[in-house]
Amino acid sequence: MDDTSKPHKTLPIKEGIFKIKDGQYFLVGTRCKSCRRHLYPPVEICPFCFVRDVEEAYLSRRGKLQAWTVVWVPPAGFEAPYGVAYVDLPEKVRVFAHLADYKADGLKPGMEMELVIGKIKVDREGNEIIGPKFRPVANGG
Amino acid sequence: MRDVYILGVGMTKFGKFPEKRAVDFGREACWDAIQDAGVDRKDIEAAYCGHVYQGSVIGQLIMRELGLTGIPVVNVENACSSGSTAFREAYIAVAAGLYDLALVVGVEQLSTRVSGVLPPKDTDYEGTMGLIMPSVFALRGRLHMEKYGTTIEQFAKIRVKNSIHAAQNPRAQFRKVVTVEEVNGAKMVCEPLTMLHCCPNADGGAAAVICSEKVVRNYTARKLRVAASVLLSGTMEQAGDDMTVSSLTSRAAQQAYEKAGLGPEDLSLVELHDCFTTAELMHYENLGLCPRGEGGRMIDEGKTMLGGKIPVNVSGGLLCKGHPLGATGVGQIAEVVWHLRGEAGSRQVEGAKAGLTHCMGGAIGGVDGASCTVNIIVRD
Ligand SMILES: [Zn+2]
Ligand SMILES: [Zn+2]
Repeated sequence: MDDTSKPHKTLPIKEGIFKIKDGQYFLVGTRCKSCRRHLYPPVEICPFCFVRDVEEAYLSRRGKLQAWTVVWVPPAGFEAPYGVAYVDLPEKVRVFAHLADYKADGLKPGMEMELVIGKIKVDREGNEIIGPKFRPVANGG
Repeated sequence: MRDVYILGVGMTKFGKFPEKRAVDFGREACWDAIQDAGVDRKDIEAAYCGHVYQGSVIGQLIMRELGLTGIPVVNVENACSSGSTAFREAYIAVAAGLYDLALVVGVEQLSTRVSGVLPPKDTDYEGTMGLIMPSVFALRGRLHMEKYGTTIEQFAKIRVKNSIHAAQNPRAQFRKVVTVEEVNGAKMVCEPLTMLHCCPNADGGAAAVICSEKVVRNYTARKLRVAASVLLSGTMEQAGDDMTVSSLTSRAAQQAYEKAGLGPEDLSLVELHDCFTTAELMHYENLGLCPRGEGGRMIDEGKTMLGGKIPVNVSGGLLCKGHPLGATGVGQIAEVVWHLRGEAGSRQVEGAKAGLTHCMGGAIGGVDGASCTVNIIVRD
């Protein structure tokens, strides 16, 4: 049972993987200064060219839907049903995220999607854990 | 490197046995393999144990039960490829000339640990985001449907086929033949995969005794040679990569075919990692059993059915024989050995000469799988 005497917090799924800029949420990854490739979530060492000379990079808020499914038998902490998807960003990064609406109709590979931040799960202490979600761009963007 | 041969195998029944411990499965499987091999226990020089959740030094706990103390014992964890990785470590040591006789065992007691889906990795971003194994193969399978017109009926037929095979395997967990309607009508797990598109959690053990070419003649005239034993890890998956392709499995298979000096057309049977129906269909393509996009046709035309051109998972596969993680890879090897010897009973693949086993395990973010093994075993 939830312990209602303790105030529950809202926490990011991982510190530093999304930030607000100009009033909008952005996913934050890494850009390698040597090969210029982007990675998400952020890394300390570029796995492609094995250098530590990497910098923080804000990633595009829109990308193309690759594949998705709706999970009906959830692992602990998750509330079913929830949709999960892979979205390819223009920076050539493939992001694993939730679907903002698991009931979203007419999803197609290649469809334009945009980032929102929302509830992913609830942790053992009852805190709401938020992270990246994607939804279809209205009117095809 | 020297040639390596399989002298004996053993396998417990797979299923849910909450009253038994991993040590029990290991002891029974090893006992059977040692009897089957006809070797003196004292001649076993080293042991390798594959498992995922069985804790520290499970291999030594099993060896103590057999009085096999004092020898080197190696414990191996590599997700669903743990047992086959243990097999490969033993193979390498024997091939290198370190030992002439080695014992491999794979065990898992899952039913007392996990109910429902295996928990996602909390040490990995995608795991913390709720990526469970069924979702990995659900979304890749769905993409295969979009890309090639593969249908949910074709995926369901994989389960039906494997259930028909398992009905003839006394060691299988599920021996009831199911229909396409039953498979697709079961409880939804991850769209479009219902419970019956997913392999069950299982308990069990499997073992093998392997030896060098130097001593094989002392034991048998029936030489079953390990023609290839390959292990690889996944590579970075980037935007634009085709998610209907497991480049990890394709690369491992290619290496194994090259090492063995044969191709998919030379195989008599295949035991592949059908953790989900979608996985089996896509692995037809990854292992080169058919061209890309034709997995659906393979199952429609009955090519992978017992009696077909290339029977796949005649044991019942993970879907129906059961998937006790650490035992799975060694169990596949036992199945191939029984067929190469003509000892597989009513599910025998007639005149089997060469068999391939394949495991792939572990979902981690950014790469296309954690571990993959491919073994090819031939009758010389
Ligand atoms: Zn780089
Ligand atoms: Zn598996």
